[in-house]
Amino acid sequence: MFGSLATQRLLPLLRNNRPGHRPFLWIMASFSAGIVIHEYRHFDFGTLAVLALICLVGLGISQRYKNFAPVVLPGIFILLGILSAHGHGVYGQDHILYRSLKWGEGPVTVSGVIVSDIRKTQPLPSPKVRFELAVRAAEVKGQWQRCSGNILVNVSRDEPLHYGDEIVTSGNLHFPYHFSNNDKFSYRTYLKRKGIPLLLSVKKTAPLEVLRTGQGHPVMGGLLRLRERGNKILSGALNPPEAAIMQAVLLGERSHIPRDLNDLFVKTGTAHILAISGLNVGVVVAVFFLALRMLPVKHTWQYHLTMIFALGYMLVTGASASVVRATLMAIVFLGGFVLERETDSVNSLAFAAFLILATDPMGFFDIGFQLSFVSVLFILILYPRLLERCSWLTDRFPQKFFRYAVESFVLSLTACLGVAGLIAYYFEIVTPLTVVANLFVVPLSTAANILGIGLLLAGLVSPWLSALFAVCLKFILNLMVLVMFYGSQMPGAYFYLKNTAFWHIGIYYAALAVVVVFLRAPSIDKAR
Amino acid sequence: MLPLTKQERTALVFLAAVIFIGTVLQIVVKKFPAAARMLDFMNGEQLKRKVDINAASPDDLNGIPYVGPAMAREIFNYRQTHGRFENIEDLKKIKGIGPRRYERIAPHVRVTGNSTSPAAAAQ
Repeated sequence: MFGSLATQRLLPLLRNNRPGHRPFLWIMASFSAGIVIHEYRHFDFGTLAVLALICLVGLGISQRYKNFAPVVLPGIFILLGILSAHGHGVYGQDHILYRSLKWGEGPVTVSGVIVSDIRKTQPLPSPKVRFELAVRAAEVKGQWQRCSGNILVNVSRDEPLHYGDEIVTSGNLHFPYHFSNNDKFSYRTYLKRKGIPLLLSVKKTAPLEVLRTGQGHPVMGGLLRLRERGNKILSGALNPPEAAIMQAVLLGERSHIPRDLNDLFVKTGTAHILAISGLNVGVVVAVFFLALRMLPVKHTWQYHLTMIFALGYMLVTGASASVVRATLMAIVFLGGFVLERETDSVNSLAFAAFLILATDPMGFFDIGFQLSFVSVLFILILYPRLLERCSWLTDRFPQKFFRYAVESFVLSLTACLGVAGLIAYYFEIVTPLTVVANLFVVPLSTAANILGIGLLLAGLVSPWLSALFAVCLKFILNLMVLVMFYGSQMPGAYFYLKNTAFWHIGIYYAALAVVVVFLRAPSIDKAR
Repeated sequence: MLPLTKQERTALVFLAAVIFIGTVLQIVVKKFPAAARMLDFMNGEQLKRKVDINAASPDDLNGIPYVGPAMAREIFNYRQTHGRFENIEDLKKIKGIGPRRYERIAPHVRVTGNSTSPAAAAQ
């Protein structure tokens, strides 16, 4: 599922992908198993202490008797997964969640620092702002108490707030709503896993005062200002829905996408276009790298600067799981060039997943994390196998265009097969159109990405050039939506499922695993 | 020939293509209104999905922005009891839909199609 530019570079790499030394795959699998075990099995403090002790003894054994290491180490990582997941949900005594239990009903005044960017929404009849607040103190019944922990603040009016502002405000503190008709997704659980157990609703007339500014991290503050500037350039040059798409795919700001447009992307199975993924990161990083190649910068420094840029871009876009995954993989890939060492794609993917889970174990249950990693994993393991089975087709029609078409189709099919189970489970929709839709939509989306970057840069220097980029971008975006709209009207383009259970999905992925094993890697076939 | 590297050539060709295509598109949009409409497809009415409150099931009604499962059930029950909605403003008669909520819901609904009310079914 990559556009023409990315495809030219990536397809040969994928074709040549061979199973190699993949320690992180087993580390990641064991660690994830530990997180899942913790989710469904409660452990008390004594058990956890014993588990930690077993970890330490296991480490000693694996170091002393190296033959035991392959058996002991996965076990240790399972235990580490359990411990990390448990540690994630432990709050200090002064956490606002514990403090609030004693406060009872009524409004609360809290003071703290804004630690996220400000999301503005425009629902009728009044606008709203939403941000994450790191609480420092709270006042209840005239008494200030020292507090810690993060909460989500919803203000029912527009406020000129920024990242790093220290504020004091009043509102009702409550648990987030579940906002769901089924047990597969709960907004409350989603926020809790992000370390936000409570929500503060600030009314239109409630006081909100900025005490100090610039209390956040200066680098993060600078990056978020850059993002705000980018948002302004895009919304100034494009119509609202077009600007919303570009803000989502380039800057990670998805809150402005109209519902009908979002539904269209879901129905055609192309919703991945709206989330920053490997494709977007790849295009942005490739454009930056291309620009560096034109400057008199030392070759090694070009790689280093691109890695730094990729990290900066990750932070600007809000560091969602798919962006972190793509950024880490890009860094491992570029690092391979710097160190002149070959990298194994599956191992890099597992390394990225392990790093994400080590910092945020509950990220394992994030739908974006699962979709991102499963799609790439299936591209890496199933794509070369399926392509090998299609070699008779490309041998018969060796033309470059036909070969590209077959490779793109197989790539799209592989990614779709990989995520179909998860999409059917969480969103209860199956979109057979996706495989074909991606063939048109992904190249258009790649072009839109490149033009979007051009528009952002042109917007800083020349209104004339900016207008030319904007009209090209409008053409591409509207063409993309037009294709999707008429595609979604086709019979059988999508259909809804009811009551998809976990075991249905288990059977689906077990069947896919059998297919993967049955097809075998091309290298094994050739060796035989 | 200009002594350009491959990357410089690519960047210049891309920039020239954007200037050329952009200028042509600007002229086409000004001269042909039909082309302008194509360039504005996303803002058109075709994309805006409106739910027919006279034909929608409770699940469909639940899909309307600002309508939850309970409110969807209220709308469905109202239709079952009172027959089809004559116009969108009839929504205001339902318990729980005040002027504010009506203002939010109205852009996402339409009143056409067949009624599923008992009276209509009897007819």
